[in-house]
Amino acid sequence: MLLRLSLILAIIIFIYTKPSAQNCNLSYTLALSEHDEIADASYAQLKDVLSGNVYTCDAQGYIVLQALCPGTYTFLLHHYACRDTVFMVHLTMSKVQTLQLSHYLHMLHDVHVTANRTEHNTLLFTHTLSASDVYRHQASGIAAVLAQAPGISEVKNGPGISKVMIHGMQGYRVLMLQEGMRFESQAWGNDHAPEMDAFLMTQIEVVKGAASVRYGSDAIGGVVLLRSPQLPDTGQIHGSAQLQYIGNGRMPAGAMQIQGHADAKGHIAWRLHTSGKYGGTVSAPLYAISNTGQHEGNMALQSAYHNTRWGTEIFVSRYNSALGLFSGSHLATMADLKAAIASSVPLQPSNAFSYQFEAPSQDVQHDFIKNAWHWHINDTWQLNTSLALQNNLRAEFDSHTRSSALKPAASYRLQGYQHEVVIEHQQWHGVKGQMGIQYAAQQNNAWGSSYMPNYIQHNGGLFALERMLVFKTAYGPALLEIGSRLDYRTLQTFFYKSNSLQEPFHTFLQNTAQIGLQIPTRLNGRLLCYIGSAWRPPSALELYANGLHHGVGAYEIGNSVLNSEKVINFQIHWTAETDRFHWESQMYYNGFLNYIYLYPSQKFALTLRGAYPIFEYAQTQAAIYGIDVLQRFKIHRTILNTTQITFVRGQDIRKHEPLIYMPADCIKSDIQWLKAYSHASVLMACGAQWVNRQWRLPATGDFAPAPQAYTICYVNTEYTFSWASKRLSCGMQIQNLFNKTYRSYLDRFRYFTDALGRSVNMQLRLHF
Amino acid sequence: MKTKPLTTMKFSVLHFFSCSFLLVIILGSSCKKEDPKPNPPINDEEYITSCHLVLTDSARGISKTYTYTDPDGIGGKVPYYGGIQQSDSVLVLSEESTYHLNLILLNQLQVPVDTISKEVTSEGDAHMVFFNPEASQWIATHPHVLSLQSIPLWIRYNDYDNSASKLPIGLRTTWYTKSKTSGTGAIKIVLKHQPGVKNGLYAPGETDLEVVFKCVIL
Repeated sequence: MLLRLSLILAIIIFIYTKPSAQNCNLSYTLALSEHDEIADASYAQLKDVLSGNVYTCDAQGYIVLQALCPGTYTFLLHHYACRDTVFMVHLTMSKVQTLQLSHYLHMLHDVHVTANRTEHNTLLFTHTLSASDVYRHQASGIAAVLAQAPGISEVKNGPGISKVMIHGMQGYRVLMLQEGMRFESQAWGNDHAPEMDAFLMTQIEVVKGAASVRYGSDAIGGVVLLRSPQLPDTGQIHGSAQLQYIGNGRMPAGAMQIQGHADAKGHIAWRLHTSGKYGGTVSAPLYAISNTGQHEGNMALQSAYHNTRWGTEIFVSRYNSALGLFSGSHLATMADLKAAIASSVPLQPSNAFSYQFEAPSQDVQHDFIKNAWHWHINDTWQLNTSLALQNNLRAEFDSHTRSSALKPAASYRLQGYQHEVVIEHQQWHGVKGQMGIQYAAQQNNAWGSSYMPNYIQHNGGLFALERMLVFKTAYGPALLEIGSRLDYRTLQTFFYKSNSLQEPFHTFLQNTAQIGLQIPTRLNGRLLCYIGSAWRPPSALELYANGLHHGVGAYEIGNSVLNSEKVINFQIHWTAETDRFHWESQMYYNGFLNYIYLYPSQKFALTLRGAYPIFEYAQTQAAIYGIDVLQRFKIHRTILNTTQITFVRGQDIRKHEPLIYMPADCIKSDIQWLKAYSHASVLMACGAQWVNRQWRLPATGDFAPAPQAYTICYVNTEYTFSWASKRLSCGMQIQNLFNKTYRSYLDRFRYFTDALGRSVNMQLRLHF
Repeated sequence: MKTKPLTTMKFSVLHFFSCSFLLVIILGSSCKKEDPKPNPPINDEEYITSCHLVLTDSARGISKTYTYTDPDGIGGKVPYYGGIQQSDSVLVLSEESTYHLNLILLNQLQVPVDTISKEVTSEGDAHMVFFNPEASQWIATHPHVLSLQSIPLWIRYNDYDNSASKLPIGLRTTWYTKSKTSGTGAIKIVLKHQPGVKNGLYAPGETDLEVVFKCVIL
């Protein structure tokens, strides 16, 4: 409460502080001249990385940006025949810069290039989360940030535990990349959240669709690319600090970054980052959800060196978190589960607030280290290599065991090693693309009453992905992309069966391919027609699980004869952009062969605790298809309307019934008023999200009927200004404005409690 | 403008690389390799594999033991009735009689066999035994006496926890049978684990034991 008051006070003080006057009427002009190999400069696009705005080149070869405020801008220059290049511009007055287009911009003296990112580099559309969406939701975790994009849902397992679902696919079917490397702890099953510092990973892109060719197995539903911000290129030490407060759970959260840069023949840059949060019991509108505190503390260190020929970077991070699970959700038997579901309020109601929690709870630690190198062999060829190690630890405390506070009921350790060598080439005999080899190894150990076996896994992959210009249209070049990949995986598992050690060994071999055609259209549009395949071998859990899944009240049995799951993804994607209008739409169809799922076998495991229903893993043929739409429309110079539509359908083709746990239809719309003054900007927005009841359900398999449709509203205000030559912004959001009682179909907690009630959140951000 | 001496510059670059290399090597080698082969599974500590009902006829002093047991724990063989002395699932009681019931719970998966009922007594403020929880009610005139609805039987709790409210536990009870008319039914015995939430009611907590015996009053 005290903190809330002081935040309000701070905001009031800042509003009444007369900020120093600044003019936001600068312009920046980039004049592009053509090169022998790159004949058409007018296909170039300039993207403001922070705001996400894209500027196109006019016929004379100029890209003109107007009405800019003084400050530092990070731009990404894109041309289909060149490598995407990121550079920074410091604007204190209007500026004109000239560039000769070349394969590599770093060869040019006029612009200081800060990074040569290994671009995601497929034609597959990537949705970039805007900086404001990231800042607004990062205290609630990565999944909450990602859920702002169309086609993406958040699958919750309680406050603090939420996973990303892309087009109705989650867990093993979504690949998460942290700084370009696989985030392995997804292998622990669907009810374990990604251990990721949302304050650090602020550059978030989502690839929606099968992308196994570039990223390997598991990229079935899509790929989430998480990166920390660009390292700086200015000499002086600077940084940013932010403070957030989430009202529901009374959670203060904060992050601080300090970064610097030094020139020594090449460029050395570094960054230190730390963040943390401390949350207590959260509440539904009518009662508190007991034992739901979460505490988190993270740090990261990043450093890079590069010159005109080569460069290297190193990234080290640690994530630490402890969180409590709602005590009424952790049940021993099916009878308890049924009783809890039958009751409309939790069986142990409480309104007590506490920052402390007890078992059932989880402790999680994630360590990650990465070293990457790039070398420009010549104007056309570049070699990239990277190496990453990670160590994931998890301890689960259960209220059943005697000394539950000291000894976890189950603990896991997952170690991962990854290596990647990729050769990229620019336009070469009319083809641009990349080829590479990837190797990854994984070892999982489990202790205590775990139903997951130990395993060692090796994976090798070989891929090539090339694109070429097929024809020119009035609106630009039409590009064709073709890729193929071969993967080989070995899986050695270890577990006990009737007191004797079993060591089964599996191998998997799979090739995948993709083909895409991108055609420029009217309205600065792009039309992408894409066919891609992806796969994932069955996980050790799906093959050999055998035991009680605590907290679900189910006995799960693996299926050792499962085959690899395969998918073919068809999609048509169209984006368009005018001064007043932005449009993104995606239609997709995923045809699955050997779709792996857990089904209730209608058998029971009898014990002295009662009967546990037995769930077994099985395979079927399935289809998941749907449509996403995002539309932004400028009603007035200062008023913007954004509407998002997400429709997903999943069908078990063999059993002629819908797939379980598919996201319900969702429409989200908001109106935003943004006014930029000479010294500051003010933003006010309000919106609503309507989620339908999931009425397409299989006949069996769920514990409770799907919840009713609901609408929740939110408001958002933000005020940004310069203060003593520092940029400061403060904001306030109210989530679930009318404190509506609802339950969400994709929230596993819906069986036990209502979703979270109103939350008044504040944030303060300072760039210094 | 002052230029930096060349040696300083070289040093910083070299320094940077050696640092990053060293870091990778140190961190890589410090990752302790774990033996992938697991130890034989450890059994759930508070798991109950057998439940013994020792019923003593208070008038004649004769006791009989009824057993429900699952010696290999969850999975494997199905649990069964009968033990060393008895081999059926029907409690046979006489009408208008008084019996003392002692509930003994064991975990036979531990070596030596673990007596869970002792632990339940010592953690009395977190446990309670219920009899036919959906079909029984407390008798207003007699504290801690339950009347079963489906069978003419009253059950009095004889043991209490150490909490301030002195709630019953239910491992030791006295059973009073009524008339033999409609004296056939079932008795469900449920042990609930209610740490911090025990309030004498059935709803809170998790189930540690749930067994059903048939019952005949002759």
